[in-house]
Amino acid sequence: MKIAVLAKVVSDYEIPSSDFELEGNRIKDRYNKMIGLYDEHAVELAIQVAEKFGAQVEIISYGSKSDVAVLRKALAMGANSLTMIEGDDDDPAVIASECAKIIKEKQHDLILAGRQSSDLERGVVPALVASMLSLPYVPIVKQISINENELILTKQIKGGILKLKAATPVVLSITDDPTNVPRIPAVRGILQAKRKPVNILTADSSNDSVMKEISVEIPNLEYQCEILPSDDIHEAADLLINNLKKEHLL
Amino acid sequence: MKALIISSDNPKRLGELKTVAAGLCNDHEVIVITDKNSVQGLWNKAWATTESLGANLTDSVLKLANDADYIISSGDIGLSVLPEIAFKLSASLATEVTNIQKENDHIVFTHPVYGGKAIAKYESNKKKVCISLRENYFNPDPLDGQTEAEKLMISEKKIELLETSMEEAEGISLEDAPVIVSGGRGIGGAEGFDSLSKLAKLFEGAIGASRAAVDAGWVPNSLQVGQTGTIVAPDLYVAVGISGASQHLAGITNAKIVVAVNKDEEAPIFKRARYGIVADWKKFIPALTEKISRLK
Repeated sequence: MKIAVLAKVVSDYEIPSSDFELEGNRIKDRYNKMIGLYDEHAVELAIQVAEKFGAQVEIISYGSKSDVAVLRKALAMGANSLTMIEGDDDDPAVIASECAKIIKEKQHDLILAGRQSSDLERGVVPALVASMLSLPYVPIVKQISINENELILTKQIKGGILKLKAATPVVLSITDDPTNVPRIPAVRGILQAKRKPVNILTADSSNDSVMKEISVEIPNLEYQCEILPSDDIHEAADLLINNLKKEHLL
Repeated sequence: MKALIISSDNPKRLGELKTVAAGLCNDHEVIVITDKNSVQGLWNKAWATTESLGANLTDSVLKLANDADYIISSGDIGLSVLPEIAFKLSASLATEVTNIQKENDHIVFTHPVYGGKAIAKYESNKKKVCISLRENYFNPDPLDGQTEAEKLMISEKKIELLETSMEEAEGISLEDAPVIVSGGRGIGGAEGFDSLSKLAKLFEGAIGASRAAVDAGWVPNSLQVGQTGTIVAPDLYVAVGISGASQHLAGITNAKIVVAVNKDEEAPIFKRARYGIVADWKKFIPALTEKISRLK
């Protein structure tokens, strides 16, 4: 079985608002780079499937050449190879068509991606890849098992889960779950990652932008936080209760 | 101009979609996932289907979407159906939309980016647009009246549903709760949530959690509050041991009063809070619970 994981390298998504800066319409290029939050859960899930059922895991990413260093982490976690498509377009249709080209050529059986990137957060690239390849798409899956060539998927929905049966090839978007928390690569994995194949390609899809971006701005959200003195816990609780009463919440 | 809506059978979701459609045009058609043969609200045409999986719905929706100018949905269905519709019908696609403004002949869509730390605005350069809304951002239309629904034929099941299991919901749902007491990494384990639960009960509220607490396995996924969990809008949100990652803050944008309890005075949650208590929650929460229980 061949698994592809679409993963995007983004700027540190955990920086607080107070340290967040834009340059033009994009985040300033001064933060640590990392694999997107949900993409990393997708990498973990792919490796678990490979370990349990046997599979080759290929990471496919669209972005800049310097992202390769960051994506080595996925190889260190246990992925087998990396294909980096060099390009600087933000249009999801362009990114999807570049990824779809590789998947079509290599005929992956299972295509995973995080449920949304950790920067522009549109959550459409895996769905577009599925459309372009005429494959079924299931978003927000958290567990995968295989039973006689059929996939059994656990999908998160509001207030519960669905168990689904799907044939391959299929495209899935992955959400976080206690069962797919990304592992920390072991030293051995990190050393092995250095020798794993990395293929760098250049994007050639043209920009067919369906949406025109007008602006990206930092919202002006001013909240005045009143820190209640808490040397005496009971006094702090009384103060909070008084304030909640004033707000008609008690 | 015509809008086609695809929605779950939840009046809030359907109402939000109706509100958006009403702002765009007057001819509204709807596909609702339901086993009933009528749909709440007045529609020019309504279809009903029990098929809830986007992958199985897309082909049937595609046929109806052909002559619609706007195809509008939200949540899971929006994510799974709309991109393919947009791709096949060469429409533009706006997802995670939190605001829509009609300006002369074009429509401007607002969509939070970078975990809500920035707000992006887009406009469509095509006439046909697929719009997927972020839930709980639009005022739901009251949906007066009923419309008889025709059965939507599903041609081929690409994905098979084996089983649905819902977690037993205790008390009020997160989405509707006027008060939410939420715990994060700082809670340290599943047991800690018992004490948050006591406080929530006094307010007749619900328990929530941050992604860190869910991924640690302390509470079920359904309690996750945040951009990719439940987007909430309570009158009071008590964040306990939650640092305030932007993904979490994006889920409480519409909370009225936020109270933060955290040992770390530098925690970003204090930037969003109205009242802050820099203290060990293990001491503060029981004291607060005890005092409030005496009030009741």
